[in-house]
Amino acid sequence: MISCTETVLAYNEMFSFLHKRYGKKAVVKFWEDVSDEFLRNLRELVKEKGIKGMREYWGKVLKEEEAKYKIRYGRDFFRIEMYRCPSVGLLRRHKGINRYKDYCKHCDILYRRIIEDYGFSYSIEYMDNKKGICRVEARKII
Amino acid sequence: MPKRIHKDFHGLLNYGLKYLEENYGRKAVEYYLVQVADNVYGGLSKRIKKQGLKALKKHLKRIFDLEEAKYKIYNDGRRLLLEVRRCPALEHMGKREYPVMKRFCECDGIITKEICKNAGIELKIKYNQKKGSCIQEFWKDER
Repeated sequence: MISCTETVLAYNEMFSFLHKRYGKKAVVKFWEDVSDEFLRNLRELVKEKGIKGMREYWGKVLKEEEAKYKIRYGRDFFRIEMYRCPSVGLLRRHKGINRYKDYCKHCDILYRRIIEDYGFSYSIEYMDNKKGICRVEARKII
Repeated sequence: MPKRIHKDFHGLLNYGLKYLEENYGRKAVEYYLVQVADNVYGGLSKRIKKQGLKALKKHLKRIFDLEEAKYKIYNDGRRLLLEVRRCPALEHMGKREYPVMKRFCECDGIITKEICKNAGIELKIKYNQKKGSCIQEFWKDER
């Protein structure tokens, strides 16, 4: 069995596999599909609860993944300040793994498609891809 | 305190495998799984090759304990027998009502087979995906 603690490694291999055989477009198409089909729970939360739904989703997921992060929010914004991305950390530690060059990009495509559908702008700033430091922000469009 | 784990990653993996099969066919899934076995579990194969079945037992115990699976593992020195009574991946996906890929267990078998091939050990697997159970037997062919 692939343990859920090893899925990130298999996920990274999926990106490399698709890219090598079918090109970058196939990787992006896969990310779009995951966003549209697999992340329906996040979509429902954002649709129904807005910023509260984002807090609910990422508050649970990032805790389960043991990320080092800070969530900040207000009436019009939601922000994740990621100091140590758990996925990036795992890929760095695991010997034998070649990290997919655009690994971090999946977070942009996966979440942007959902957040922007419900009256928010979405931005992601990559401060250090190697260390897994970034900042994600959703801001209500007024 | 038990380590926190994000069980929904099982759903993501299942989704990825289903996606690959539906868009690129069965062969693509097989090639991908062999790549996963070689790259992600290459270190495990090396440890099994060097230390024998105890390295495999240690790996299986670690992940099944972490996932709080209902399982038993026996090792008589020559053979290792893993009996999974309730697969944590299938259990989680069942609770979330995810459409589980028909060949989900078979995919797991492809990875396990490749890990064993790389480690130079033999295996026999019997799955019951509906029940979420399986029996996996491993041994070293001394011939």
